[in-house]
Amino acid sequence: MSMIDLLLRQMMNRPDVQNNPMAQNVIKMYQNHDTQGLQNMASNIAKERGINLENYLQEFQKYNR
Amino acid sequence: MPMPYYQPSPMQNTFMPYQSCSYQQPSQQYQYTPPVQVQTPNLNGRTVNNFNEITANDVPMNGGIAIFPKADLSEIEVRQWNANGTISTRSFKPTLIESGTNTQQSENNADLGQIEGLWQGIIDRLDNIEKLITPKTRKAEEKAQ
Repeated sequence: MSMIDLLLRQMMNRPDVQNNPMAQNVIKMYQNHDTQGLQNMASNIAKERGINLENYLQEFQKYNR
Repeated sequence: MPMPYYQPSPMQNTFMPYQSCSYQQPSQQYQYTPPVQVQTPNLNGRTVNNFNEITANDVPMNGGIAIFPKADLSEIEVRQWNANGTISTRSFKPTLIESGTNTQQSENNADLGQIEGLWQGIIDRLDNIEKLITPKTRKAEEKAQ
């Protein structure tokens, strides 16, 4: 078992994480290598905060070149 | 043989800060006691004039809910982050409840109505039984005479 898996397991047992559906979902998606799910979740959170994630990524890529 | 007489040398009275001291003060061990955190159940949210004022930052990301009553109490919204990163909203609108005594009284009236119905049923049955018994008893009395 890798270090990250151990850390994740410890996190999963924390009561504040157990009571947090978002955190639970993130950990599960990470464990299942569900990158699309993680991306969708990030996009949803950004939308709720009034941020267009795609525009941000495009800007980031421009500056990164 | 003369006893050795202890004579303090003049140097002994002087303070020697670098001399190693054999006596050590017992070190005071302070045991750290973490402060007891009393978790008070606090409600997240605030009163708003318009629900458009609410931002995503007003909703806690720890899985809890945030309650946003309108200032005029015409509506209450409860918001919570979903597992997929969206915010779900539930709206509550008030229903005017008349004073508590009136509702209790109406409940009592309903109970009384039920009891009266039951009574009436029992009395009807008793009347039927009486009707069945009375002619027979009269006949029996007549026979006895």
